[in-house]
Amino acid sequence: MRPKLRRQDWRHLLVICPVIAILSFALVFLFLRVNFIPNAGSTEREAIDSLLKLQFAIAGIFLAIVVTVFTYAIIFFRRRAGDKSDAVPISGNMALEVTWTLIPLAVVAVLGTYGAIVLDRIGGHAPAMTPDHSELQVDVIAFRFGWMFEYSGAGVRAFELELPVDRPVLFRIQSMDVVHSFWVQEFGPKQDAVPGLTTELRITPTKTGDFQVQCSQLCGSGHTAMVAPVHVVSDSDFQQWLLKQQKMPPKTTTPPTTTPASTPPPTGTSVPGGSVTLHLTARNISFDQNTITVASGARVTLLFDNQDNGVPHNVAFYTDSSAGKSIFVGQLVTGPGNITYTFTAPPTPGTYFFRCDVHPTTMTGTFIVR
Amino acid sequence: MRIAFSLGIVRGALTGLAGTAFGVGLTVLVRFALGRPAWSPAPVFTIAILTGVFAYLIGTGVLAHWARWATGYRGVESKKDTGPSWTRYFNVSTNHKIIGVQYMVAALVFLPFAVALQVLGRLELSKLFGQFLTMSSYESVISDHGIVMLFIVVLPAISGIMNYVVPLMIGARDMAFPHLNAFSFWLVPAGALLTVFSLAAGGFDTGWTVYAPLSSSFQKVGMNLVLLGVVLTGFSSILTAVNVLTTVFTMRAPGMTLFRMPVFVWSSIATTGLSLIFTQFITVAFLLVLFEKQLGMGFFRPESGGQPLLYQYLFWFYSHPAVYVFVLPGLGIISDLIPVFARKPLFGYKAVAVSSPGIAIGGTLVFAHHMFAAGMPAVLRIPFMVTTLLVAVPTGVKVFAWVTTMWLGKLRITVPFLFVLSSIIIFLIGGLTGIPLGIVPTDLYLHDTYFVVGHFHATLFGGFLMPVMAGIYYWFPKVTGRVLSESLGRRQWLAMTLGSAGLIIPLMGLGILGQRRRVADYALSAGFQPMHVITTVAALLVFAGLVILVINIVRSLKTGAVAGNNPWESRTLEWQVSSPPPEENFEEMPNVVGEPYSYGVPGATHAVMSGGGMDKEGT
Repeated sequence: MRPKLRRQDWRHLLVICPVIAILSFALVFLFLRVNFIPNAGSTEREAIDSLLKLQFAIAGIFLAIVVTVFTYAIIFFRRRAGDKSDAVPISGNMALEVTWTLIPLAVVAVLGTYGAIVLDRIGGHAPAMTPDHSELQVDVIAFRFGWMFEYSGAGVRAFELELPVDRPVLFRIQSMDVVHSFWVQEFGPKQDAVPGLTTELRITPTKTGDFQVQCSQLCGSGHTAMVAPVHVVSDSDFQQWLLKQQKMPPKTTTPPTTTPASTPPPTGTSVPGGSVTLHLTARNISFDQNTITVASGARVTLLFDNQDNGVPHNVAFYTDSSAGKSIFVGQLVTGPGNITYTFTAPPTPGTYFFRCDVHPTTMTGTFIVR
Repeated sequence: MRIAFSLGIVRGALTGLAGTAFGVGLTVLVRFALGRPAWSPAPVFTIAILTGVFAYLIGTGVLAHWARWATGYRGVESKKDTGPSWTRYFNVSTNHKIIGVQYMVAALVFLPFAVALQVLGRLELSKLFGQFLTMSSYESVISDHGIVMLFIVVLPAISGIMNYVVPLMIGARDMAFPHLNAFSFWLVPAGALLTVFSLAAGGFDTGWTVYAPLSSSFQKVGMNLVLLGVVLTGFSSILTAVNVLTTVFTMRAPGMTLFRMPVFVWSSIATTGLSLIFTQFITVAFLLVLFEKQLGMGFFRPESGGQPLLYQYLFWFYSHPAVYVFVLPGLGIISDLIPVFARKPLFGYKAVAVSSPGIAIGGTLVFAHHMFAAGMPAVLRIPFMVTTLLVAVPTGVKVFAWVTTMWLGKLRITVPFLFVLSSIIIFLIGGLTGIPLGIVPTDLYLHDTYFVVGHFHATLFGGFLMPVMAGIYYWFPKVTGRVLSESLGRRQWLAMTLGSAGLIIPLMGLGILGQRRRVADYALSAGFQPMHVITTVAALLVFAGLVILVINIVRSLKTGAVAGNNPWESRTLEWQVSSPPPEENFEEMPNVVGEPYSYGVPGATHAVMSGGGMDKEGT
């Protein structure tokens, strides 16, 4: 026996249909027009952002439908006090059930197709496209807990990522130890760095500015600190930077490895007059001192102890915190391990800067010359 | 004192300790004899855990039945049911109702613990009380939160509910393999202790995903404890799956055709089918990590011939279906409770019933969507995107059927129903936010951000936690004969609903703004702090809700209103027997003659008690 619906049972639809329409429109408008995703900085991010907005808008329509029906039911279909009877036994409706199976199917088909088109546009579908000679190739090497960038064409290796604006970049990503993930939020897509594999990511930066590479795959206790600065600059600035890097002494002669560096322990050789011996320890991705003070022109012997297991650090002294001009750049040492740096302090007294090149944002300090 | 020693749990703890000590001594001796450094925590404790767990199982008595069977001993089977009735719950019992309660109590002991761990992590991120965790301990705390939640709370809780409810719902006297059932349960306390104590053994900063080679190269003993603990609970989950499937397929009451089974039974089939097939992959993955870490075998480390992605394939081959293992029983509870409290038949019962196996089958084909950014072949991205999106269709069928069942109903707004209502909206949000994660380009942005954390917690709050709370309030009268307090229940519901909303939405917001997950710290200038403060308050609300639940259970056990057989006027079989049910469930054979949800249909009946003994059992 099919239960009979009375005419007033249909009147509820007169209320909820307009509510659903208004709520859907509001949510679609909100998700399409309000820019709730911050700082797009690449063509890939722009494509992703518009796709995300569309998905949220469509999800908003489904949310509006279900929440409206749900809320209306809770308000208007409560049991009246003292009513012990059951409700009208509607057990199903084939047409309605087929509809709510087919419409979502069609919607996900559309969303999936559009997603595939966007994926193809950002170069994430098929890896080996025809080689593009205009694109800049940067080799990214991830390690616990830092980043190294190699511009193999120019013979430059750096701990910060310098990129020219509006030029496609091919990142070839490797890991020295565990799985990491290369991500610049402003650039959009991320790509894991897998030991034993070289993975690829294509990005075209569209905005100049200072960003950050963040490791987005948990890689151990120092994961949080595994960030590196990114500078997107004009093409001429980029070429200048490359030239400057080529002139600078190589920051490291040995690439960081996970095996402890075998550096001879500091020896007690006597140092000529005007000399000073200092200690500096790196532990938990930070230095134990944030100021180092020496006399001007002194010959400095710095006993650097890196206690971070498997993590490379160094100590590098610069004229100021932009780290543009170096005084002395120490060789990397992977913890646990120690190394002795010797160098001559600047002749002019003043306040200078030191940092770990691998962790330039988290491990910094003031270098005072008296 | 004598009572204490009569309890399996006490004997198990003592023999377990002795077995661990024996293992430590044995390993140290062997290492000494081999000329190695005698003391090395990781190998020593790994062996000691194995001997300890074995001794613990012997001590509890859960192996005694099989030992008697193997040796042909024909003496007294066991001295069951001496001592007060509460002691049954701390002893090996083969009764599915006792085992169900044992599972639930275990889950409810570790649930507040796991929430408290995350409250610690939230407090750290809120920056309200300074930095009191080191980066390493932060990662350990949140990693253990995930492991304890999923393997010590979620899996045992669903095993517990299935154990208690499924045989009653289908008209069976017990589960198909009662001794195996007891064995499955007694693996859980051992696994639970291992995963909890891993924090004291140095922790593990790998996240709950335990990705190799991080897990096999840079971890302390705490990692070994977790690996072994999860292998134990995984084994328990497989054995429970065998039991539930066999029970449902062979022990239904006469007339209980598949399309007369309550939806919870359907979702139990789907869940246990997934557990049975896929749990082995995570136990294998974790054992391989242990072998690589402890024995240096090369599975995942490229320098010894391994492949890091192999771990991820194995892990997600289980862990994606596992998400459906976690939520399908909850969705079954929602489908089962709405008709009772709306006083209307479940709209499109057959479609809702079949959608559970539909989701399960679809869910087996989507695992690689966790690896869009992982470096797997790029051509696989689009096929896995398509399968992922298809799972939305049967899931949508459920949600639409739920709200349509409420339409024109006569809703009785009780505490279980309040939890069901919250579940629907939270799960809906979880489902809808799965779309951007399933579509590759947007996933490449959102992957490994807080958006994933928010999405996952929405699906588990809506698909597990809130429905299980509904289930606890709904079936507590059946289990104990007393009703849980309505006023405390409403307070708990309010705290947990506000808590889940305040947790999920800011987490998703943080992800869209671009905060990575699993970071111990962030720059204040990033503007993330207000949302972290909100989630901290929300996590505390959820914890407060759980405290209210515990108080409510303890109080209502003694002073709750007497329930009667069928306080909710429900039609399914478990409500047609006394509360608590008789030892063997049905004094008279139920004869199933109709559908379970025919509320309001004049003259419709689900089952008649036909009289006659239960010895005619079978379909």
